[in-house]
Amino acid sequence: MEANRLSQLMTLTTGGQLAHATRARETMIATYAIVAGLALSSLWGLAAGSSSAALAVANACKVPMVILLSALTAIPAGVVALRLTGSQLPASELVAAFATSIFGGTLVLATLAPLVAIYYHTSSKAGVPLALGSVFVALATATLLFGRAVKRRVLERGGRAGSLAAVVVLVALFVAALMQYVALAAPIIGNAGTRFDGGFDTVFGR
Amino acid sequence: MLGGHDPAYLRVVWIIASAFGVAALVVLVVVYRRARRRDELEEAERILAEDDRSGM
Repeated sequence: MEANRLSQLMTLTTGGQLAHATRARETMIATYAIVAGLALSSLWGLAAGSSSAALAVANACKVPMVILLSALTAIPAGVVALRLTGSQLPASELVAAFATSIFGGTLVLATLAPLVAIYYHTSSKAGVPLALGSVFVALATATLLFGRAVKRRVLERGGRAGSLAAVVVLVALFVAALMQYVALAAPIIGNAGTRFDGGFDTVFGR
Repeated sequence: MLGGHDPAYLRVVWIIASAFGVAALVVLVVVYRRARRRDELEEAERILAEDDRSGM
């Protein structure tokens, strides 16, 4: 049953469509996507914090929480933007597309986790940049998946592509929230910390 | 020292934010269980309807 659900989730994430798609099934898959995504991000958290056991264990909880809180912060603004653009796309579908794209992004994080872990312990130069790079790759992947999923749903309904503004708003707010939650939860990547540990002020400060 | 606040204050902010996250997780579990029940019911109705059509 779980394997079937995972297969359905992968179908949606890769741009496919569910057989006998109902609202209940889409809601189920979207919530499953969030929970599976959080579990996958936890794996990356373990790898990124593997320099010490305490940091690894803390990261296993902190990283999923940072992602969940960033999503919760961004979703209301995305829904408002969707309504203001006069889109025919229901808010539930926007949120479902967002959930599957989070799953896609965290899937990338989890697949890069072993690489992050091995570089952490074997390279003093590449460990931290690789961990940060994996986050940017995951963010880019999730954004592309989200844009594609919303575009497909909008075109299916014969709606205007202008509704993609909601995607831009949602992604921008997600990234903005992510930056501050990461700072709040710091340290995540290594004990030495990164530029992102100070939030907006250090990232954009002189 | 985010926003000039001391670490103790930031820890409290993180704990409160995490509490919202945990509450959201509980809501997600409830939504998932309800959607699964509804989906099982709709799937059974669909199978019965297909069975009725093929029996005619």
